[in-house]
Amino acid sequence: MSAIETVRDRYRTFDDQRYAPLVKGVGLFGLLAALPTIIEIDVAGMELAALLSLKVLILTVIYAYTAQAWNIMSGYTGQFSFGHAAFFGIGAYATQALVVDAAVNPWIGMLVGGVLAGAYGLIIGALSFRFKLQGHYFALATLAFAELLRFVVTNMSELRGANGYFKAFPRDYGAEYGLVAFQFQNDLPYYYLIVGFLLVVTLVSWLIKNSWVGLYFFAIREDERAAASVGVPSFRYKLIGVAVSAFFTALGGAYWSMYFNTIRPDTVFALFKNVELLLPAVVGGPGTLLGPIVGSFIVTPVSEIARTTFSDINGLDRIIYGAFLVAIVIYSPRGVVSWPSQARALWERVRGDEEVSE
Amino acid sequence: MSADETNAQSVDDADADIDRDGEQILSVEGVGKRFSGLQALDDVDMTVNRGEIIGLIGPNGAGKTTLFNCISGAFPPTSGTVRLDGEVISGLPAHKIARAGLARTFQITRPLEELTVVENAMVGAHIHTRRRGEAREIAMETLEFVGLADKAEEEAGELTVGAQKRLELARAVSTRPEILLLDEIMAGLTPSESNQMLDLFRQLRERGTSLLIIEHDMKAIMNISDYVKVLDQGKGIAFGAPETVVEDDRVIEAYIGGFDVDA
Repeated sequence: MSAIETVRDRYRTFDDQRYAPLVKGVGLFGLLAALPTIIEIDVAGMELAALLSLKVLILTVIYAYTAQAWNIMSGYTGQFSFGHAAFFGIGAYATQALVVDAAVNPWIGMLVGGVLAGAYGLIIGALSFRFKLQGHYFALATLAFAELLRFVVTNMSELRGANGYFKAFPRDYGAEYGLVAFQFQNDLPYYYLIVGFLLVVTLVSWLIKNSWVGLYFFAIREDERAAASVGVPSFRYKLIGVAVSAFFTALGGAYWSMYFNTIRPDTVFALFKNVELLLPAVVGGPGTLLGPIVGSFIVTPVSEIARTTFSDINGLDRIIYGAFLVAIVIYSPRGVVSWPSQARALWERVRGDEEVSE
Repeated sequence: MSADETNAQSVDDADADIDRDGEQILSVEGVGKRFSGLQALDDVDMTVNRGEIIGLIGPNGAGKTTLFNCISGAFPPTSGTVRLDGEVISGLPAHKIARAGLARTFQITRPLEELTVVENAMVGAHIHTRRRGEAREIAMETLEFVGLADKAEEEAGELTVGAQKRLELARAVSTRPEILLLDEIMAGLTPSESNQMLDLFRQLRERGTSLLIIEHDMKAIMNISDYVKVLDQGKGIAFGAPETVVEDDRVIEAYIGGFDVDA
């Protein structure tokens, strides 16, 4: 018992240090960087890699990344977006259209996509917030804007309609396999690249959270009227949240389009993509920094493994997504990352009762 | 100065005779508010000078909170003008009015529940600085002032009613306003908590903050206010020193059949 308490006290002292976030960040991303090696470690003739392939790891980190981007808007400001596929798809399409049709380097296409998505986010936000859409109504509006794009792109021959784009070879846009070309000949560099993306968006999220912007976001989430009464310009700050979130989500779409061979309206703009992009944040803990990452490591591997193992049961992965969503919303709306502190509170309550009864 | 400019038709032109010290901070001129068919406020005039404590009383439904909402920008008045330090603020959004130096509390407290107590106060303090450290210092000062410093790291949603009321005050005070509008901030407090609150009001006044207070506790409001403004059915019916207002026939009439004036 006292040993546990010593450890806890040491942790609290550590947690108060200025360098604590840095140490935690380095630890977390060090672990992520080591994962491809860890899954290949042979334990009693079993490798974790048999279950958890590098491909699943990449998918997991992609969704950790998009959930982190979604979180900046929806977790922090409380404006629940159900239409982030719009931004994801814009990023994917801007990148591929520029690469394939104009031989522009994908990194430039990615930034163009980010800016376009940010602009689209501002339009959605300005319209919705001007007309005071909130809660479910706002979520439905974002979904409508995402679906709108899917229909438009499907019917635009300039963007190759329903067929979508097939990724170009690096030489088609004057590059060779490598970081500059945004294409690699095996999966490992892709994995490190998306971990790098995740690091950037997590850093941005941390900076926001630890500045007045983050505090204004949270104040808007908690009570917009109370926030306005002490000088928070909620309309402007909600727009900032949407734009930043849309920009980073589009970068995720660009990565997706450079990792997989094809993109189509019914993949990157898919109705279900909206759920996949946000679910890790909701499961892990909306509004937290760690939640989207932890959430993705719970949700994505389970559904991917289920999908590949029971491939004859069509849509099993979606059932699993649905089950996660329902369970977490009903039983733990603050997400998985809140479990340790809840357990601690429970533990202290139980012990408190014991001490009283003694 | 605008005291003698008040509309001659207004019933409460009594304040024209009163000689008040200090420069004018807030002036409400002919403010009306209509909600689809209901005239909630009708041509209300009143002023608050620097360092004054003004009580705003009236029976239930008199329009006191509606007047607060019109002044603080929760919604715009349908007619009339509100000036803060001579500048027109009516029609501005709430956050701009807060930045102009007017803060308010809400009748039903609105803590930012999942934030800590100090973070609640910091939101207000960020009006003056974007630096987190400075905002934290201002916030801690106000928490110290209202007596919540020891609860700084607790979640605001877990506070008791009394503490939530003080947090409501702290959040508004950390914007360092020129004038504070307090909407029934003493409701639900124990007698000793109420006395502490009255003491805070006096200290705020000493710092040069003007207060406009809605309160149902007549004893408290008569005790603390320099002047009292009485509303009834959306109209101003009296203004004056507490002891003269309670003897005013219109005020007595307004309260009869309502509830007792135990002052």
